[in-house]
Amino acid sequence: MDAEKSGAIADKGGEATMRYARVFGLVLILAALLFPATAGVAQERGITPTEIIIGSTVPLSGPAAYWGLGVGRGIDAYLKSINDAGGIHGRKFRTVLLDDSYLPPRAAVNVRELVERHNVFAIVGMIGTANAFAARDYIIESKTLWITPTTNDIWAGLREKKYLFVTYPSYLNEGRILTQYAAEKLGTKKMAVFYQNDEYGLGLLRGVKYGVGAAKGVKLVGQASYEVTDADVSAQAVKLRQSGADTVFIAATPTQGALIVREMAKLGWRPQLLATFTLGDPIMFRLAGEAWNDIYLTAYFPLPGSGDNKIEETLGTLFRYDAALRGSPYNALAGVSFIEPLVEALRRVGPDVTKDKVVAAMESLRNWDGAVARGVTFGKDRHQGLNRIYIVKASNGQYVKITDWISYQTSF
Amino acid sequence: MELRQRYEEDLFLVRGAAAWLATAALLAALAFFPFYTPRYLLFPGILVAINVVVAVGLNVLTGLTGQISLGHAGFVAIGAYTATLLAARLGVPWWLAWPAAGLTAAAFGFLVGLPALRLTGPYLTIATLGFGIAVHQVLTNWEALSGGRMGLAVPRVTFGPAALTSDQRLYYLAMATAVLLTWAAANLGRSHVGRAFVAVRDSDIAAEVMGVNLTWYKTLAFAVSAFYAGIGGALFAQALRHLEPQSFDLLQSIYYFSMIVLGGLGTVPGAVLGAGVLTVLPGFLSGFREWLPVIFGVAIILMMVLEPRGLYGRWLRVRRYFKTWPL
Repeated sequence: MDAEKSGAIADKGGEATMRYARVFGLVLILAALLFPATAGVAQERGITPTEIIIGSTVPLSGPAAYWGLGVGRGIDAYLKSINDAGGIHGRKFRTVLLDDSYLPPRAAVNVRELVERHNVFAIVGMIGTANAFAARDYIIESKTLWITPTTNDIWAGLREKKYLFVTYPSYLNEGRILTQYAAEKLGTKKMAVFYQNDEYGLGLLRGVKYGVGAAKGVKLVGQASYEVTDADVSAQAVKLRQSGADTVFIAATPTQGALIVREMAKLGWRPQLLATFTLGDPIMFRLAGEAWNDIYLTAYFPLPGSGDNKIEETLGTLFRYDAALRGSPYNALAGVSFIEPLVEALRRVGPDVTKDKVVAAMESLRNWDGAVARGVTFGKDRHQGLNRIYIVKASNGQYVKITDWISYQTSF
Repeated sequence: MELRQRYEEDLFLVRGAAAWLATAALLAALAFFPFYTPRYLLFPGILVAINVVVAVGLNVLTGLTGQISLGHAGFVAIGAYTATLLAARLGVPWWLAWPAAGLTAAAFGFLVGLPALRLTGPYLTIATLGFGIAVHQVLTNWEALSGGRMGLAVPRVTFGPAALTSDQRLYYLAMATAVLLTWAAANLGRSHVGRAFVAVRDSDIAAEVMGVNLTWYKTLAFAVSAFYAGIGGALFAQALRHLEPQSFDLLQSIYYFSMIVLGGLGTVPGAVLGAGVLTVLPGFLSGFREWLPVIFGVAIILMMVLEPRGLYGRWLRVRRYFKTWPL
C-alpha cells in the first residue's frame, strides 16, 4: 500500500514537472514566433533583396488635391518607369501613396503608418506647411530619410537635419528676385501682391517686401489675400485695382491664380503681372485666358513646352504610365524633381544599400543635372540642394527664358 | 432580472459581476493597447482619446442640456492656444498649463452661455456658429498672439518614464484624461446637476417652475462643455506639435457635432462610440478619396432615419433582443 501510495505521489510529481516543462516549451516557441526579427541580421528598413520602398503622404482629396495628385502620381509614374528600365542594382521601387486630405492630424497618422506598417526607406514630399510640421518631429526621430517637403523653413529649429534633403526653391528669395527684376527692367513703381493666406503665400509676400526695400523708387501699395478654399476672388481684384498698383505679384495656386487674372480682365484692368514658379504650368494659358500672356514668372527647371528635350521626354514617359497626368504636367515634373536626387544617390551607392551610405551619396551630388532638376548641389553642411532660379516670360502660349540663372544664399 | 430594492443600488455606475468584469477588461485593454497592437495604431489611439474628451464634453451641452453648439472647435482652439502660449511664452509646466487651458475655455464657455438665456433653438445655434468663426478669424489675423497662418510651434512636454516612446507617453496621458473625464461626465449626468440639465433640455419653463436656476445651469453647461473642449485642445496641440487656425474651422465643429449625433445624443457611451468611429473611419475609407464626404453624409442621414438614437441606441436594442432570445 505504502509503496503504491508513494509511487502514485512520485508519479504525480513527475506529471507536474512534465506539465511545467510543456508550458515552458510552449512559451519559448511562442516567444520565438513573436520575435523572429531579433534573431536575423539587422537590415535597413525599406530595403529588401528585391525592393526599395518609398512612401509619401499628399492630399489626394480635399482643397489641395490638384497639387497632391500631380506630385504623388508623378513620383509613382517616374519610379515605375525606372523599374521597367531594370530598377536600381537589381531592386525595384515600390511606392506607397497615402491620402491626408490636407489635414494635419491625418498627415501625422500617415507618416507613422508609412514608417511602422509599410516600412518605407524614405518619405518623399508632403504638401502643406501645417501637415509637414505635424509630421516633422516623428520623421526626424524615426531617422527616416525625408526628401523635399514642399514647404520653406521646415528646418527651422531642428537640431538633427542629417536625413532631411530639400530640392525646392526658397519662396522668400523668389519673391525678392522677381520684385527686383521688375523694378530694374520693367519700370515697376507701385507693387501689389495677391497671396494665399498661409506659409506659402506669406513667404512670397515677405520676399516681395525685401525686394521692394532693396530696389529704388518702388513702393508696396496694396495686398489682398485669399483662403485656399475660396472660389470667388472678385473682391480682391477690386481691392488691388483701387490700390493704384502698376504691377501685381500673384502668389497663388493655379485655381485662384487663374481666377484673379480673369477678374482683373473683367474689370478692364491690365497691370504688369508677375507670378511664382508654381504657376509655371502651361495649363494656365487655358485657365487664365488671354491675360496670361506677357506675364513674368520664375522657374527652377525648364518648363514644359519651352523646348527642352529631356523635359519633353520625361513628360512623354510619365504620360505613358499615367494618362491622368496630362492634366497636371508641371506638378508631375515637380514630383520627379523631388525624387530624382534620391534615385541618383541609390545608383551611386551600389547594391549594398544603407541609409548612411545614401546620405553620403546625396551629399556627394555637385551641380548635378537630372531629367528635371538642374544644378542640384548637396554637401555635408548643405542640404538645401537648389540655390538658383531664372525668369521666364509668357508670350503666345509659350514660356520663354529671358534671364540666366540667378543665385541666392542657401539657408541650411 | 435583478430586483433593486434600495435607492443606493440604483445609483451604481457599474452593476453586477459581469459589468465589473467587462469594465476591468476594457480598462486593461486600454492600458496595454500600446503593447499588443502594431505601433502605427498608437497615434490614431491618441486622436481617438482626444476626440472622446471633446465629444463627451459636447454631449453634456447638446445631449444633456439640449443647447446645440456649432462652434465647439472654437473652444478646442482656445484650449490649444492657451496651453501652447502659456508653455512657450511663460514657461508654465504642462500640468499647470493644461488645466489653465481648460479653465480659460470654460470662461469663454460661460460668456457664450449668457446669450443662451435669451436665445433658443436655431438662434442659439447661429450664435455659437458665429463664436466659432470669430475665434478662427481672431487666430488667423492676430499674428502677434497666434502666429497667424504661419503657425505656432508647440513645445514638447516631458513626463513619464524614459523607457516609453513619446507617442506612448502621450497615449497614456490622453487616454487617462479621457477615461477620467468620461467617468466624471457619467457621474455628472446622474447628479442633481445632471438632472437639472436634462430638465432644462426637456422644457426650460417647466424646469424653472420646479426651481432650476436657468441662468446658473445653462451657463454651467456651456462652461463644463468648454472645459472639456479646452483640455482636448491642449492634448491636440501636444499631439501635433504645430498649431494652425485651419485645424479649428467650421467643418471641425460640424465634425464634433456629428460624433455625438452618430453615437447617440444624450448618452456618454454614445459620445465615446461616435468619437471613436468618426476618428478612425476616414483613415480606413481613404481609398474612396473625394467620395468620402458623400459617404459620410449619406451614412449620417441613414442613421438619422433608421436609428435616431445612434450607435449606442442600436447596441441597446441588440442587447435587449438577446436578453429574451430565443423567445
